[in-house]
Amino acid sequence: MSRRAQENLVAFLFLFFFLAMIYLSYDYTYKARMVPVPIYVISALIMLLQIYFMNFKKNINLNVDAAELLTGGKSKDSVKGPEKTEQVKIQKVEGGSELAAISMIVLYLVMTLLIGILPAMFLFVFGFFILITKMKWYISLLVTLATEVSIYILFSYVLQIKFFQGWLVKLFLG
Amino acid sequence: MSRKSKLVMALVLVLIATLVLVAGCSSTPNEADKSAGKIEKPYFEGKNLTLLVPYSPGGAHDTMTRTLAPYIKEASGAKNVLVVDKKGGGGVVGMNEIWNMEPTGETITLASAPTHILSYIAGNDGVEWDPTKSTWLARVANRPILFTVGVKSGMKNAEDMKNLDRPFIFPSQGLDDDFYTATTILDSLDVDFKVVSGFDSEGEIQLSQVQGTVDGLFAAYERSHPLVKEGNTVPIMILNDGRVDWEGYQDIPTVLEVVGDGPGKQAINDIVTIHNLYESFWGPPGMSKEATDAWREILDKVLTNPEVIEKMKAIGGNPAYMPGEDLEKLIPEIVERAKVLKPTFDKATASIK
Amino acid sequence: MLQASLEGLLLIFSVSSLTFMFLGIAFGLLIGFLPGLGGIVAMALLLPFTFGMSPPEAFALLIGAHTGTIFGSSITSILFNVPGASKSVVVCFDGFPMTQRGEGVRALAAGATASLLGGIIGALVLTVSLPLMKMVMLALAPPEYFMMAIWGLTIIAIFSEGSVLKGLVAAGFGLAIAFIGMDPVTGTARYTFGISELVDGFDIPVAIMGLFAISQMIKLYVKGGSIVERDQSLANSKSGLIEGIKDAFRHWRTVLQASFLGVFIGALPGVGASVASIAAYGAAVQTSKTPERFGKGAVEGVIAPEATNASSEGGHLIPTLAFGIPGSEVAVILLAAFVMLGIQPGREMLEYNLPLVFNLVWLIVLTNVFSTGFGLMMSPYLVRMTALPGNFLIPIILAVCVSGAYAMNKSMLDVVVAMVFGIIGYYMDKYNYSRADMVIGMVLALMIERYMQISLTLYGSKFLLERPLTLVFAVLIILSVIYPFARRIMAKRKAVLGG
Repeated sequence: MSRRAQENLVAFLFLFFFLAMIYLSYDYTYKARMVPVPIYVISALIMLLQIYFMNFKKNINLNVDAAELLTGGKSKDSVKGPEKTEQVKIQKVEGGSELAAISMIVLYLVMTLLIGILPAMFLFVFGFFILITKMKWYISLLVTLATEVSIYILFSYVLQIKFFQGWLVKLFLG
Repeated sequence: MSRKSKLVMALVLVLIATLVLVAGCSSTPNEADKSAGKIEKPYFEGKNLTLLVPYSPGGAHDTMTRTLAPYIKEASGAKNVLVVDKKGGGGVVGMNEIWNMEPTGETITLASAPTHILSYIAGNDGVEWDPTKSTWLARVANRPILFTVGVKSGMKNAEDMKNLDRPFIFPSQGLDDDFYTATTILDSLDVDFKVVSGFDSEGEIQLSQVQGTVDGLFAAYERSHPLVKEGNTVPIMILNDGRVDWEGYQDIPTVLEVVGDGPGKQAINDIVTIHNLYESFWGPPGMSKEATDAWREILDKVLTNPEVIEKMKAIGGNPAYMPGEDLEKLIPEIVERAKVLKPTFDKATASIK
Repeated sequence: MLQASLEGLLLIFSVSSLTFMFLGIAFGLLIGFLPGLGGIVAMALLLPFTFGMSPPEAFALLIGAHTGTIFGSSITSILFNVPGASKSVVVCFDGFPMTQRGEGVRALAAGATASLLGGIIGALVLTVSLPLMKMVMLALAPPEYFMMAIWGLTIIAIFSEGSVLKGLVAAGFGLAIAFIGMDPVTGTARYTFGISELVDGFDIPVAIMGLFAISQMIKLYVKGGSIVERDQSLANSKSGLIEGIKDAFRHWRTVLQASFLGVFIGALPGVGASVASIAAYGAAVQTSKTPERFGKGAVEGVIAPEATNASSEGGHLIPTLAFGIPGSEVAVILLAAFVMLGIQPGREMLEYNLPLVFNLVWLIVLTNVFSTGFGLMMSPYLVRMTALPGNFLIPIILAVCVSGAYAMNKSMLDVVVAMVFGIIGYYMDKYNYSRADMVIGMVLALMIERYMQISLTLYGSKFLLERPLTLVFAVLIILSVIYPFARRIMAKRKAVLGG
């Protein structure tokens, strides 16, 4: 998907969100929606404006500069994002795919919900070290255990927090 | 050893060392007096008990619960008594959690019984419970509260309030029990009032009171007294069964005295009765008889212990132990009677919606 | 007064008070380091331990814990982009980019020193300005608070990095998220879909943890490498330390400005601590000659909020001591401690217990000194964690975030929220929708709604026009919005004329 298509998708998602909030607000009394609704309306209009500039004013950057809007030209201070220095970042480790990253987060969340915080933490951290960091199994185990024990002591012992045990545990063990 | 491995080992060693240090320095409070005694049949012996506080840490209920926890541990023979804070919605989130919990008796709550009852009667959003079905275990304390007005309001006593030639400006933090209590009392006294809702904290309200932006509010003695002493506010009524013996407040009438035999008398009576439940222990509905009796016995021992009573007073509480059996009979009666307050609540709520 | 001050100082120098102070600081540092457990958690946990202690010992423990928490929260904000408390989130904006550039030690040192200076200034201002602050507190009413919240919104333009429209949308998104939950005015449960745990809305610290920490881990995974982007030798940590300390003194105007803002805003009950740090950051940007550096690793962007966070602690004590009205959650706990110890706050305390007041003031100063000293000593070692490969840190930080998110309210919903906001934050960052603007929206939304509704109820729809102070604020806001644009236009005209 091109960058412009992605930007449009994100913009329309935001627009849809604001429109949905406006729609839902009409279940509430006038006072309860008095402040939120105008904010959603203004936000939706601004999003529409951004979509317009992105798609129909192609000679302006995707990032619209306020000074540009006012003065009609490029501002000396217009910022394109973090500058790349000549000194190339020395990447010791290669990056991964975005889909993999998001999937991992979702997987960790699902594991936590199913088997509880501490077991999921062990599996996730150990699994990550073995499969992604590709550390030796005994070092992975050592660091995973150190993390697990530290968190257990700090949260469960010192702060006296009883961690969530997981839906499956509740289902089978009551 | 490679540099990476060295870093890893160093990190692990530092972590372990820190934890050992911290674990050594910290300990759970264990101030329980051994004379609190063990129950004959320790139903909860060896179990992990949880006292859920549906408010932020550091508040009055939280402090009270943490004060009582070590004594409960000693009296119950439990392995552990954890205090868990679960704030949200002015207590609604925590109270819903207790309501929906498995009724094993291993988790109970110490919270505001007035909130539990008034929110139910008013039909507040999000309320899932029915207070007549909760398992009532003991009343811990009641808390007479002062109704004060700002000096800039021009009022000096309750008569001035009743004869006010403008609406009384009552500040509110939303639909909490102060809101229902105060609006019912003002309505019963036939005082024309305007609710200004949206304040974030009692501190903010008190500052507005001193400024003269709002007129009056109910607050506990330790919160009201500094302002009264400074001459910024004037106490005009007390919400309590009878007058208090606090120095300088013996002449302040109760709300019941202020209403006299007026038409609002029954409503105020109901509000006072509800309010007197102030801080109570209860558990989820459907707790077994054994668990319920065990808790009532434990709390009886703890709340009649003179050392505990002194500690409760030291933290600003007003010990007023009532056994769970009495509460169990009282609550359904109160709730049934107080349903007549619903129209008053609805009228007040409509004014801010 | 001098005698009372000396007496107050001497109260600290007993073996027991000093021991409790150091224990408190150590505990606070640890709690502050854990994501989402900043603020009052450390103090609340220690409060029961203060039964039976003397007042100086109790205060030493509690204030030590609180000061330690502040610095602990800063460490994770600067090094890992994980705000330890919601008022530390502003420190992330420039602190983390500095770490990425290999200037983590400098950022920690600058922050610690600014915090120390801010704490001292806060304590001093508390001591001398009590009568004046009483007047200020009494003069400001809900309409003025409303204008302050609106002024906070104008800071949005600063974070928009050239994309003002996207910044405004991000702020609108933040405002929308904050409206989920019980409406503080009408008690209506809005946009909760019947989920009882949403009655209080999303916990802002949890959402911030997701938006910054978890999204940062996703980004680190995708990008590869480590947190520190430049391969700089860490043997330069000593020079970074000295440079950071010098930065705080070099930018003394920023420190002073931020500290005064912190005390002033901290003294107002009902205005959260996050607002003070946002305001200080905004003020630092607006008074800087090179505002475009902010958000990318400008050291003043660390100095301003750190100084404010520390000085606002002194500010919170002003209404507490002046009226017995707690200025913050921290003050609520201190008031509880006062009551337990039989001390009446207010004028009585100032008249009959002045040494105790000074004891509090000196404690704030000394705990800041020791916290800072400890922080400076540890900085070079803490920063080494950022050089670890990302694929080593990611699972550990995610594990800590999950635990921290759960620990806040013992609710799995918070863990879900943190993860979801982590994904949202990643994409917002990718497509240049400022998360900083979103956080500002979230923090200010309910403040705007509450004060607007209170003002309308009390003064009617003309409240903006009927109060002179409100009008003054409104004019200041308009000027502060116009100022950056005016400055750019003037600079362009100068360049054109000069060239």
